[in-house]
Amino acid sequence: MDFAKLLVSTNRSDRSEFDTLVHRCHRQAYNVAYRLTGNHADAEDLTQESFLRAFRFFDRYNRDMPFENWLFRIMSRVFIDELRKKPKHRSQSLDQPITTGSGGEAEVQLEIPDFEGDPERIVLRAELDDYLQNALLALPEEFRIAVILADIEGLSYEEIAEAMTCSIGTVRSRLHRGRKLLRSKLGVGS
Amino acid sequence: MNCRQVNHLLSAYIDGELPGHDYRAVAKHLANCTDCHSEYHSLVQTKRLLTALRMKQPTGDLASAVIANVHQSGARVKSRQTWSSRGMIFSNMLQAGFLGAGVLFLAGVIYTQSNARQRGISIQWHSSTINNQDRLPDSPLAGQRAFTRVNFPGFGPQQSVSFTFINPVKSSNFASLPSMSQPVTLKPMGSHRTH
Ligand SMILES: [Zn+2]
Repeated sequence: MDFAKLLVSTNRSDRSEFDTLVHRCHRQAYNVAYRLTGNHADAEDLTQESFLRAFRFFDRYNRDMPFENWLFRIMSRVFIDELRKKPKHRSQSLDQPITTGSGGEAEVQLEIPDFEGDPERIVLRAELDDYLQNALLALPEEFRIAVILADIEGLSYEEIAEAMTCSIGTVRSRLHRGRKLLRSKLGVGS
Repeated sequence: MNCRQVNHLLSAYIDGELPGHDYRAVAKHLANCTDCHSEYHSLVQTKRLLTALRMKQPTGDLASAVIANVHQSGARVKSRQTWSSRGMIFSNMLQAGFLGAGVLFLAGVIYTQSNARQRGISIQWHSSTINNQDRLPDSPLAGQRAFTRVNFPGFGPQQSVSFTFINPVKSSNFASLPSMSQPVTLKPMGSHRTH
């Protein structure tokens, strides 16, 4: 009997389901990975490794849960595991002046758009994006994950608790502390 | 609710994650407390900054790269308790069996080689196995230790070789065998040299 052939045929349906999920979720996964790591290369690696583990443990995936949420759970785990292996992540200090792409070395004033106005008309500049990204990178990992899942991905506390395998109370606390830290890094409302 | 209690609940309040009674209590407090309200306002702004972040787009065809990586990695969906998984377990057992046999074989080879290195090469021969006379030494050497230049793969060029004469395996065609009483004459091998 050719067990290799048998395996190929039995895994084929899992594979095609998985491929569909990859097509559906990879952009969202990459976005979260980018916000977590702050650069393209690490974001790509994190996305790849998360999907790889998702496929390896696909039999444990409970279809009642959105695949994205399950993937974020894996990604959070991979992210923390990989961070602990690596030397301390180098991130740009918020105290350093930001350089603009076109304007040379000029220090960029952080402009907080007036969000009381029409949000559709607010254009976030690339510098502001970078500035926010650096503020995110300055957060402790667990706060960062919670804030990204809540405010960038729009997950509920219950979903974040599942993704981070912690209680809803812990999610609430991590988010609150994460936002307060971000606020002080960004100088919002001061 | 006092300011400290309200402060703890502000993020959950903003996210709509408070149960009704807590939500109403915080709302009531915020309407009357400017400190807490400005705290609330700055947290809302922080959240909105993040919410407004543009989605980062991957470069290239990330989906295809992921799919290729997943399927090339040899990663397999772990077994479910179905007939197919039992097949997989069996195949794993087969693989493990082959692997085990391979390891044993390798261990045997290594053991034999290391033994041979220590003791020298031992060649057992008897009259009925002699069919390539060029490759065997003269019978008077049997049972003695000799040195030979014969190169055995995996062994040094000069190692002691002992020849032991043993009784031949019984053959059904005795007529074809030389008589045991007569000495077997062997032509010495061209390259071999004794000391
Ligand atoms: Zn108050």
